[in-house]
Amino acid sequence: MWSRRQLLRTGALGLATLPWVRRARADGPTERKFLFVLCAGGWDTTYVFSPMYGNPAIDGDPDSTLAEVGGITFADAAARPSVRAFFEAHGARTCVINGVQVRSLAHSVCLRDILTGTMQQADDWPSILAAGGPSDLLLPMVHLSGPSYTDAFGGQVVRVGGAGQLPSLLAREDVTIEALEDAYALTRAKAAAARAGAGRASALAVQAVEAEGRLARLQDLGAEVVLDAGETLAARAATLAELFERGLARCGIVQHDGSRDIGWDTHGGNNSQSAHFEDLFGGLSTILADLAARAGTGDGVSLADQTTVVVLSEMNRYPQLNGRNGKDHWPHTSAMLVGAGVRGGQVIGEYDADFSGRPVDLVSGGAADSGTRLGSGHLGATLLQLGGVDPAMHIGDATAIEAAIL
Amino acid sequence: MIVVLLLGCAEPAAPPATPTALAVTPLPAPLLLRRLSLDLRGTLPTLAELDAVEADPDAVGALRDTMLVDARLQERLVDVLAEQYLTRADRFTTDAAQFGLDEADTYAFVASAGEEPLRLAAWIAASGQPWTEVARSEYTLANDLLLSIWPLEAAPEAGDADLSGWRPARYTDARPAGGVVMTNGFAWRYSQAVYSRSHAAAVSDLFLCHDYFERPVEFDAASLLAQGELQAATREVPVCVSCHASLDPLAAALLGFYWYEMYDPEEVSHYHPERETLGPYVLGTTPAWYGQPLPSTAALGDALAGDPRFVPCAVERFATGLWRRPVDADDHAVLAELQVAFEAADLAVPALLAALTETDEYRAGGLAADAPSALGDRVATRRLLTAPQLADVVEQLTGFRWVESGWDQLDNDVIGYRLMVGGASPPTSNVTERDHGLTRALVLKRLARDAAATVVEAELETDAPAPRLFTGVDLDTTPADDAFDAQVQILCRQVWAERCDEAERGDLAALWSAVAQADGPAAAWASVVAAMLRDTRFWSY
Repeated sequence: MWSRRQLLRTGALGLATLPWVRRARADGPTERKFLFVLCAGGWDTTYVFSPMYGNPAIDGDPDSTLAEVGGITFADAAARPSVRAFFEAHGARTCVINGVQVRSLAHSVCLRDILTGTMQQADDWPSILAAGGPSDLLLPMVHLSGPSYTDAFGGQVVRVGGAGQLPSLLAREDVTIEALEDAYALTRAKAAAARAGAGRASALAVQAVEAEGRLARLQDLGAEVVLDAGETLAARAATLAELFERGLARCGIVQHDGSRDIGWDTHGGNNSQSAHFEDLFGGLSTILADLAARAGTGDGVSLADQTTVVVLSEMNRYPQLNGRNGKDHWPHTSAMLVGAGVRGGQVIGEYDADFSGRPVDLVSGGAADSGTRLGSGHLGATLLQLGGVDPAMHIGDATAIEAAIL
Repeated sequence: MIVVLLLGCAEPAAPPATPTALAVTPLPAPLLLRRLSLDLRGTLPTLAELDAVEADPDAVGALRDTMLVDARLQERLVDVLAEQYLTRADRFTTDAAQFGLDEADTYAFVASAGEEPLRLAAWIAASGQPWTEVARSEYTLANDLLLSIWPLEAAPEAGDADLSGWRPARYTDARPAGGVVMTNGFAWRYSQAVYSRSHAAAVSDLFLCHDYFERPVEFDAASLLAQGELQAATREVPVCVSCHASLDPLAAALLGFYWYEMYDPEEVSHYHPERETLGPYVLGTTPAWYGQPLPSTAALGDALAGDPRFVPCAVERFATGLWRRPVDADDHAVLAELQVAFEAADLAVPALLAALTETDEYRAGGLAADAPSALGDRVATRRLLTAPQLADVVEQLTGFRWVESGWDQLDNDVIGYRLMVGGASPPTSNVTERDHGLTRALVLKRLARDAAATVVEAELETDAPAPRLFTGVDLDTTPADDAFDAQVQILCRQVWAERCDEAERGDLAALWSAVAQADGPAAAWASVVAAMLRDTRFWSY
């Protein structure tokens, strides 16, 4: 039995959709880059995205007040100046999406759900976007940290390693001899691909050709390519931005573990969320400033104009504090999209009195009883559409939130 | 301990024809031998073995049978099970220093803890004990490190140490017998969260093939919120009850592993029998096995082993391990036949492995001309060497093991490359990659170069008494010599289990000559070996 994704891939487009064949791409902004920031552990959206003041059933940040900047409503607090600063600077390009339901309360499952839209083995949004981008990218999808889900597009993912191991593999001890070896490896890979029959032998042979070709190109670039895992969110993102600017990568993912890397999973001491959001938004501001300072492709275009920053967490926090002044897991969460292609200055969706995501009119973005309850598939479809990838090729049961897209 | 080896007592039944059977072509005997040797011994076949099957392809069966009684099978099964049990983590809630170990022992500490349940399961499987012992055994396996830090004592009456020095042991902390489920290594990996629920879910997934996490759940927020806390929701909200009604009583049976302090070494390394009765207080339920009350945790092993899903799940797990893909509904008929063979052998795993290696799925080497193209994505006619396989066969060929600062570099992601070479590495990735890519190619290149340099130095630059690779040449040999061509042919067979044609031998000679001109014959031979290790025919099978 095939997975849902296999059926979708092979059903309509035949051979061209098989995983190891370069896929046909939908018309769209395939030049757009995507920088994913995953706040792993479960953020408490009442601290920023979804203040629920006046609802006695929901414990928010008592030291915050409702604020609005450029169409973005948020919980504003003196302890989190970076949040306001971010929305003041970038709110016009920011879309907050509230009320995205994930289908579990377990971290591992919710992470898979929010990044792939399914419970089964499948490629995550960054991998799919990478596969749908330009075919000559050296490093289509760069994994710096965080979870990684692959199925058909594992070959798109370049892993830097948790401790930044990848650069050590690029160092060449003897350039001349390694060049001879690399050339031989590529020649043999091509010969293998030419003689391979159908099936996995052919797939692996083709993958070997591609890998050896990219290996040689990457090593030729040498020290020009900085693949530093970085110590902070902004430093890691800068690594990705550098790769975007050089036209080497399309997507990247970094995990953010909150202030002092203690994690967002605040079953005790939920007020740590304040420091986490302060750290996050401070980092995001640095990231966007860095992107703006880098050149995009085209005259007068900055990388910020061509990059979509996607900020996610796999779950939310239970509306009420527990006995340890913490919060447990909650299956309705939020996401934030910033930058290229994003219709900013708005909050799409909202939480109802039970802290459940209200149905949304996907075209207008407004809450509507007749609308659609948002799930991870809708988020994914939105991202794919932003990236010029036809969501229908990968998601069978969700459509994009058109209201979020310019 | 009962050791039952039923190999040769009965021929594995021919599995029924399936869509796979009709659409694949079998591997040639040498490549089938290579696949069997890699899967069952973790080694490449010898030249003598390759000669035997080239002369008589039917000799593969007899060689396969010897592999199933080879001591290396147990080592290999550790790695097969590791891909599914996912206990090889890089860190746990406690560290080596907390157990009085040196920092230099950090890798050995995490590796040992994660390895323990795998070693026990592999020992049970390879020794032909009934697979139900994986749920019932009073023993575990331990190495010297674990014996020094955990409440364990050696149990020599149960058997000898395996090839890696792991030997039967038993816990001394009054924990009931329960096989893998009752090991510290399994608990350390799965027991951290929420009153042993993760532990219970893992038991269900790995031994019953019932994955609680597979079900998408549509929550009703109002119902959840009305409970005031999620714990109450597990007992009151229907969508939660549908799982927790069976999950929580199973978790209640595992509360002897409930830790009050997850960072305390004494707490997490000992079983707490007095906590077995906590179920009503923390989970609101007493121990039960899918509706059947359990009088105590000691009854858990029998309940698990007696569950009608246990044996079919074992068949699925080992099929997944050898077919290198998840099983699905199309496999039902074959799996049913395999189960018959397994039960006929009193659940001795070697017999199941023998039957699995007879399937068309396992022996598939290519697709038939009229095969549906989608089948190519499903059947692993060619599969990647896993991280442990790469480490082991490179060591076999060259004597090189990639270790830095005491860390096996293909067995960790702290400073190593396990994930980068395609290995599973929770929590980042729980899946062993089936596709090749740039990162993997880079790791393979470095591995190949370092390994090649090692074997050249050992065998050509120093006089090794028993060379592994260079049996017919020295540093004075050049492509003009017959010995050169003969050596290359030997290398082709050792590394790839294939004979290289004249053109390919010529290409290797050309590479040798080019490198020799730049840096001498030692570097040239190293380049030849490295090039062969980077070839698809080495790192896939």
